[in-house]
Amino acid sequence: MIPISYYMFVSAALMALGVYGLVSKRNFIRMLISIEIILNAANLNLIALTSYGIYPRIGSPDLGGHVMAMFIIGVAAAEAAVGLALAVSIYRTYRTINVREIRKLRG
Amino acid sequence: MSLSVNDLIFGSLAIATVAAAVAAVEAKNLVRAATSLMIMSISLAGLYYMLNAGYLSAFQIAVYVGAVVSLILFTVMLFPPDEPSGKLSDDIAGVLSFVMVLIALVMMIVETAWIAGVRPVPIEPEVWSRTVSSLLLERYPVPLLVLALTLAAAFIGAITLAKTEKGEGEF
Repeated sequence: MIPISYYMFVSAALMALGVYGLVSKRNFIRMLISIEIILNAANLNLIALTSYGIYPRIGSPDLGGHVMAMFIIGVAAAEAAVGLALAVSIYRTYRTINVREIRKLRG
Repeated sequence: MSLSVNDLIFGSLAIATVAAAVAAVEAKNLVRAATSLMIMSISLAGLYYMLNAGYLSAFQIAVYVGAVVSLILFTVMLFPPDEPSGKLSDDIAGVLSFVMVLIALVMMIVETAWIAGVRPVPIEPEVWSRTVSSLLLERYPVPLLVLALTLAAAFIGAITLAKTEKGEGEF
């Protein structure tokens, strides 16, 4: 039997790795990948807490965390689509996707 | 204390998840980073399955492996190879934030008084889908509509951003 804290340690490691990537990398697509890792860490936490029945159950099982995880996965897909389109658009203007070199705003 | 099959499966999935996340952040090649993200998603789906959320693990594989990673892979092919950032200050800031976030979260988990002996509650797939659909339609109908609108707006916006204007030159 696996204690719930083990799942949360995995989630904490994923969250810390995502923050590390977001802070230290300057490639736009790599930063997007880090954001996806952070969102996955949040999902793992929500699903573990719900599945272990930490929340009170009234009559029927309470699966609110699973529903939230579904919403998060949907939003993550939208975010990836917009982020990658932005990367293509930025590359067309600046010929680079290094965010350190993208300083000027122009039409 | 002897290890059961469940413990071994959990251990290997957890190690695979964290190792693939490290590779996704640190791989030199962006294609390898995207592939590592895919492996991380698949092992995370395995963890969801162990938590009695089988439909969610299928959903995770469908969205991440099917949509997000393939989108990233096709976009990466449009760009030249990744030039290394190579700034020491960036690395120091990254490692500092990594350590701080990890210490804060691990302290929080360790300090919490978890109820001992709680195990995941098994749930029938029919009950799961009935409960989740009634939750979606009765308790969270507005977030569902907002999510649908967000997805529609995001994909229209993505197409508008990425399409080439006439005479804007080749890409």
